[in-house]
Amino acid sequence: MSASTFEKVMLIVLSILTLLISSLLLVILATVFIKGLPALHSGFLTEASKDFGRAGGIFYQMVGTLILMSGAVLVSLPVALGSVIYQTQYLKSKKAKEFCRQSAQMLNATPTILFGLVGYLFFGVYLETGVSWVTGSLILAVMILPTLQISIREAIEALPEQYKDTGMSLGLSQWNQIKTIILPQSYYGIITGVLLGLARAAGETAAIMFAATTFSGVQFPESFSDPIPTLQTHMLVLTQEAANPHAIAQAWGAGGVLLALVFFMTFIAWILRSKLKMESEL
Amino acid sequence: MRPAIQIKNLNVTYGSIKVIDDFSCEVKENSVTAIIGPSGCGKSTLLRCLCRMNDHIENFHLTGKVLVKGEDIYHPDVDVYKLRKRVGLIYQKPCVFPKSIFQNVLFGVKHMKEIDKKDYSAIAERVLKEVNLWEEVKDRLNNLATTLSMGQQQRLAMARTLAVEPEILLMDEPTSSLDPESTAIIESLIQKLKTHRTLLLVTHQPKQAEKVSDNLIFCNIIK
Repeated sequence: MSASTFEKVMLIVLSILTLLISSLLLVILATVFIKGLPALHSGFLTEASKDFGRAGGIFYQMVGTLILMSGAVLVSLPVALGSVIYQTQYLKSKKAKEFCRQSAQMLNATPTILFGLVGYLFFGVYLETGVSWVTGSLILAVMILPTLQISIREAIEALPEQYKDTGMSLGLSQWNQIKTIILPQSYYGIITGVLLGLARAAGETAAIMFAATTFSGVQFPESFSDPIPTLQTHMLVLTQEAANPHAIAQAWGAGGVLLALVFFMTFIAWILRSKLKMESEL
Repeated sequence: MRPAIQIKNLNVTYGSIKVIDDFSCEVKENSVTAIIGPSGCGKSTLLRCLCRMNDHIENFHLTGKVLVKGEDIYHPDVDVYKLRKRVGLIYQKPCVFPKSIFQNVLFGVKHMKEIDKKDYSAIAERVLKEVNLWEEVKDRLNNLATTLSMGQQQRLAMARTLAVEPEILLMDEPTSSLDPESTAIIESLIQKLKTHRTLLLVTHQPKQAEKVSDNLIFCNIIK
């Protein structure tokens, strides 16, 4: 086979692979929304679920998911930000920096069920937070920590070295450099990290299924020790009732809402990341 | 006249690489001293040592003494942030923040508690006039500093440094990225500034060194 023929064949193969991946996403999107369509009605987002989830809406499940996501980010953001600032601004040793970077990558690759298991043993049993939304938020906080760290570090490291040098040569203290140069200039990256972390937390089921969530019995937590209904658990339990078409439609409907939520946050993160790149190239 | 800077037996290494070897010199007050030499001979490192800008670099090691107005700047009791206000540094490539011209000029001043906020406008005007930029920007102080030409950005960077009132001004090839017209403006500025400041200038151009400086220091690569 001549070089130019080989080139053409490879181009066709690569084009087909790209098309397959793109269409896979479209197939998933179409399936979720078509199958979830029968469940969608005017009160789907605002009503409580009825008849063990087979009818009504998903209001409390949405609230539950948002509470877990917000709790996770509130705990995780200051820890990730502080840790990245220390690693990028104070830590001198290149080896130590690389160790921190690799640790975050490895933590990011850890199976999420292990976060649930270890998190429940530590928070739920050892710290006695039990099966509750607090335990769930803490587990998710640890789980999204590497995502946040990686995004924030990327944003800070993308800043021109000259910015920091200029601040330093003007006599700004280390803290003033962080406050007036590092944080404001990497603002978009921090928000991107938060949104990606939120998206990851929103999609997580395994880690919180038995440690924080419930399918019925609780609509809205009244104390720190109450579990919480979430979209993920709602879908999981309803799909187990495979014989009931109403339950399955409700599960697809909840799936569509969850997918829309995750896509929306990822889309905003993508826009902000593009803006960040443009600004760092100024 | 007492020396503004005294360097005694200075040795600088980055890990196992020796950059400055047993260097000594004195720089007179209110004068311009040019440092010339081939690339890689440690001119910029020397300049950065005078305001302790290398401190955060891993494996940076310095021996010998560096005295600024008689004070050993590497003594453990020295406040490095105060030192950097006293000894300002201008870079080869002008660095302006993506903020307004006004905010850029006052960037360092805003962190000096002893300066009243109501004096900000007067300070900005004074230093912009000092670097001959006032007439060019006085009607657009709120515009983005990144819209200025390279030559204007370099003068803005100088104004920002002058605003914190350094006694000594270190300039690391300040005209190397500028056109001849902007270079001439900076060179005449250097002459003007030396009346009440000590200036140390790193340059690759022997003609420029001869033209603007009162004293010359030649550096060689360590063999």
